Amino acid sequence: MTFLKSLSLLFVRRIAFSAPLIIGASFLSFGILRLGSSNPAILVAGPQADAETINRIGEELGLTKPFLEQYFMYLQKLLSGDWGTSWISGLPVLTDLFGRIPPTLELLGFGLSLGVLGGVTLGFLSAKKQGKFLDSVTKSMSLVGVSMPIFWIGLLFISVFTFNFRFFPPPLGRLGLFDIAPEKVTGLYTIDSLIAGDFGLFLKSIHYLLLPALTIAVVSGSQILKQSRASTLELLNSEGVRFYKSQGMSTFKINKMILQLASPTIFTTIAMTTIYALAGSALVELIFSWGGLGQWGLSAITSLDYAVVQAYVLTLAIASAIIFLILDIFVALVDKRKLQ
Amino acid sequence: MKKRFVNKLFLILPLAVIFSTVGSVPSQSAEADTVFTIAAQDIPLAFDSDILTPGGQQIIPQLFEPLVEFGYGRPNSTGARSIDVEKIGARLASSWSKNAAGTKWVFNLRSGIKSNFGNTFSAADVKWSWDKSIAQGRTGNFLRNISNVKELKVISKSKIEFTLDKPNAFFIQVLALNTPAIYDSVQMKKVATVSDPWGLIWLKTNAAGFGPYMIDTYQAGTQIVLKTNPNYYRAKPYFTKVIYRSVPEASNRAQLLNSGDVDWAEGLTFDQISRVNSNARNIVRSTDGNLQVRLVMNPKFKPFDDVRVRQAINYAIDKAVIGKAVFKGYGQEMIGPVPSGFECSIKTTTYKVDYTKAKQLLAAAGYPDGVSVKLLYSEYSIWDPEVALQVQQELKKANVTVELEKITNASIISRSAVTTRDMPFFVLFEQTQIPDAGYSLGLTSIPTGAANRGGYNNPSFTAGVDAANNISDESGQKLSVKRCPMLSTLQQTHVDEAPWAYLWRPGAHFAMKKQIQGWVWRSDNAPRWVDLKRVN
Repeated sequence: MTFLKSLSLLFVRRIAFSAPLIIGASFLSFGILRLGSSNPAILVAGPQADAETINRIGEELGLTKPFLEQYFMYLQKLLSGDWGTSWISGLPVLTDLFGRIPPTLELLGFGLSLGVLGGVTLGFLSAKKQGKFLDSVTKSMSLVGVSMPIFWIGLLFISVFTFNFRFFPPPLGRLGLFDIAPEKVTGLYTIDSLIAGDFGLFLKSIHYLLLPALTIAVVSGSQILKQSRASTLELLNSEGVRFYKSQGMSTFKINKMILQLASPTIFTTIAMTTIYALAGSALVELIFSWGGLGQWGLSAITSLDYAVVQAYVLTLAIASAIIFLILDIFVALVDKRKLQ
Repeated sequence: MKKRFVNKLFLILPLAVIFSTVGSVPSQSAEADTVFTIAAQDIPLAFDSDILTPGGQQIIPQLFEPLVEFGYGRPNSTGARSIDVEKIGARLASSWSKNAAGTKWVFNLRSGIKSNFGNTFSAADVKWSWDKSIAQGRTGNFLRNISNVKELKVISKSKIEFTLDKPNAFFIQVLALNTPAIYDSVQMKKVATVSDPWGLIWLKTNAAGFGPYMIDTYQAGTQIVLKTNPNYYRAKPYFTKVIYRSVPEASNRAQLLNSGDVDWAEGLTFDQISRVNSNARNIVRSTDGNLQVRLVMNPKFKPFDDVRVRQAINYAIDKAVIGKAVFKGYGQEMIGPVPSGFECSIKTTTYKVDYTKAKQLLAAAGYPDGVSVKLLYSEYSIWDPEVALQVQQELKKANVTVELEKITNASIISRSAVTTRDMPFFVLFEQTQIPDAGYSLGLTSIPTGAANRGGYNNPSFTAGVDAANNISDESGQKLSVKRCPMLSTLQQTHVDEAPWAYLWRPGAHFAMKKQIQGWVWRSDNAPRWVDLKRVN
C-alpha cells in the first residue's frame, strides 16, 4: 500500500472516529441544558409575559415536543447549517460564532506558540543539564505553571506587570480605548494591521496580546516542558543513545535523533495541552476582556442562552477532533509504522 | 557562519518586535478631555427599552428622551444629588393638562426636535412607541397597566392625549422613565418588516431616538462608542464621545479607575469601592438609592405557608451582621417593604433580632426542633452569594438549618416570573424605578406585580394598593395627605405577614474620577452622561 493511500485511510478512519465524539458532545450539551428547571420561553418572552405568550414562544422554540424529537430536530437543523438563534442577541448563532473565533484563534495561536517553543526548548535543555542549576529552575517553573490556576496567573500578571510596573497595557481587550481596529480581513488584528500597512497598530496589537498570551504560555508551556524533559531524559539514558555516543556520533546528530524519537510523545502532550488551553482560554479571555469565543460561551452559560452554549460546546468538540486528527497525521509522518 | 547569523536573525527579530512594545504603554490622545471612558460590566445586546439586556439600562437612557423629567434635589453630604420625584419638568412635552377626574391628560409637544436620523418629532412617535411596548407585553406594558393607561390618541402633530381607565397617583412619573422609550417612528417604520413589525431585529444593533447621544460604533460583547446626536435640542453634552468598554472582571475595573485609565468604573464590590475611594484622584458618590436586598419567602410552599415561620426568619437574622460582613458598612437596614426616603414609607421596628422569639414562633408553628429549608441564590448581584452564606450562619442560631443551592442568573429570573414563581425561598434584590410607595407595593407585592417574585397574595392588601394608587389630586389637596395613611397601613400589613425577610438597603455608590462633575442619582441607577463634565 502506498504511503499516501495509507495516510488517506488514516484520515478517513479518524474522521469516522470523530463523528461519535461530536454527536456525543452535542447530545450531552443539549441534554444537560434541558435538565435545568428554568424555562427558556420565559427568558425569551420576559418575566412579565403572560402564559399565552410563553406557551406560544415555547411552541415556536419546539420546547413542547418530547426531548428526543427536540434533539433530532436540532441535529437536522445543525446539518443544514442552522445552529439556532441566540435568545439574547436575537442573531443567528453562526454569525456571532464566526465573529468570536478570530480573537480566540489569535490569542491561542500566539500563546500556544510561545508555550510550545519555551516548553520544548527548556524541557530539552533541562534534561540535558539534569541536576544542574538550569534544571532546578525549569523544574520549579513548570511546577508553578502546572499547579496554579490559569485565572490566578492572569490576575497576578495584570497586577504586577500592568498596574505596578506598567510594562503592559491595561486589560481592556485587544486594543486600547482610543485605538481603531484595522479593517477586517482575517479578523486577526496582528495580520489585518499588517495587511492595512499600519505597523504602529501591529505593534499595539502585539502589545495587548502579549500578556494574555504569556498567561496561556506559562500554563501550557509548563505541561509541555514537563513531558519534554521526561521524554528527553528517558531517551538520553536509553541503551541506543549510549551506544551511538560510544560510537562517537556528534552531539548535534544525537540531539536531532532524540528530538525525533521524543516527538510523538511531545506532540501528544501539545495536542492535549491545546485542548485544555482551548477550554481554559475562556477564563483568560474574561480576565483580559478579550471578547472571544470563551468569553461568549461563559456568558451564555450564565444567561442560559441554549443555542449559544450548544454552539460553543460543539465548536470545542469539533476543534478537539481536528486537533486529534492533525496529531495522528503528524505522528504518522514521524513514525510510519502507525500507518500499518 | 552566514547560516548561523541568519538563524540568529530569525530568533532576534520576533523578540525585538515583542520587546519593543513592552513598557511603551500608549498615552491617551489629545481629544481625551471630551471623551468619557467607562469600564463597563456588560455591553447591551439590544437597544430596545422593553428588552433590557445586561448593560442596556445604562445605554438606553442616553439614546432616548422622555416626555417629562424628574427635577433635582439638594446635594447630600458627599456632594451627590438625587432626583426629586415631586418636581416634574418638561422634556419632549413642553406642557400638559388633565381633566378634573385625572383620567385624561393632554400633552403639548415641543416642535422642531429632530432625531439622530433627522426626522421631526411628533405625537405619532409617542403613539407608535407606546403601541410597540403594548404589543411586546413586557416592561412597557406592565407600566401601562399599573398606571391605568387605556389608550393614546394623536390629536395633532404636537398634541397627544392619554386616557386612563381610572385616575392614577403616579402616571406622570411613569412618563419620566425611558420605558416605553420614545422612538423616531419614521425611521422605525422604514426598518420594520412583515415578520418584524416593530423593527426589533434592527434595534439589536441600532437606535433611532431623540436623546443626547447616538450609536457611533458597536461591537457586541466588547464595546460600544456613543457620539453626540447633532440634532439634540438641548445644550450639547460636554462629552462628545463616550467609550463604553466591557471589562468583565470587577477587580480589573477597580484597578483601571485607580490607574487613571478610565473615568468611571461600574459594578464594584464594597471592598473595591473603599479602595477606589481612598485614591486621591477618585471619588465615590453615594446616595440611599432604591435597592432592597431581601429574602423572598413564597407562602405557597411549606414551611413558609405559616406566617409564624416567616416572622421567625425575620427575628432570627441580625441585619447588622450582614451589613458589616457583606456590605462593609455601606447602606442601612431595611425597615419595611418600601425604601425609606420614599414619601409615605414607614419605619417599623417589628423585627429586632431575637433568637428566643424566633424559636418560640417556630415551635408554635409545629417546628419545636427547628426546621430545614433550602435557600436558592445566584450571582445576579455581586453580593448574593455572600448574603446567602451569612443568612445560613444567622438562621442556624434559631435552629433553622439552611441548605444553600446556587442557580444561574437566568434561572432565578425565569423561575420568579409572573407565570412561574416556583421558588420557596431565595435571595433577590429589587429596585423600584418610580420612587413612590404605592408603585413600589404594586410592583412587588400584588399578584400582577412584575416583581412580586414570591407570589404574595392577600386580596384585601391588593385592594388596598389599588385604592391607594387609583387616586388623583382632584380636590387640589396634596395627594400624600390622602395616600400616606392608606399606604402606612398597607406597609404594616406587609411587615406583619412577612412575605420577605427585610435585610439591607446597600445604597447607590458610583465610582468615578474626581474631575467628573454633575452626576445626579436617578431611580434607574443609570447616570445620564449628558449631565457630566470634566473639571480639571
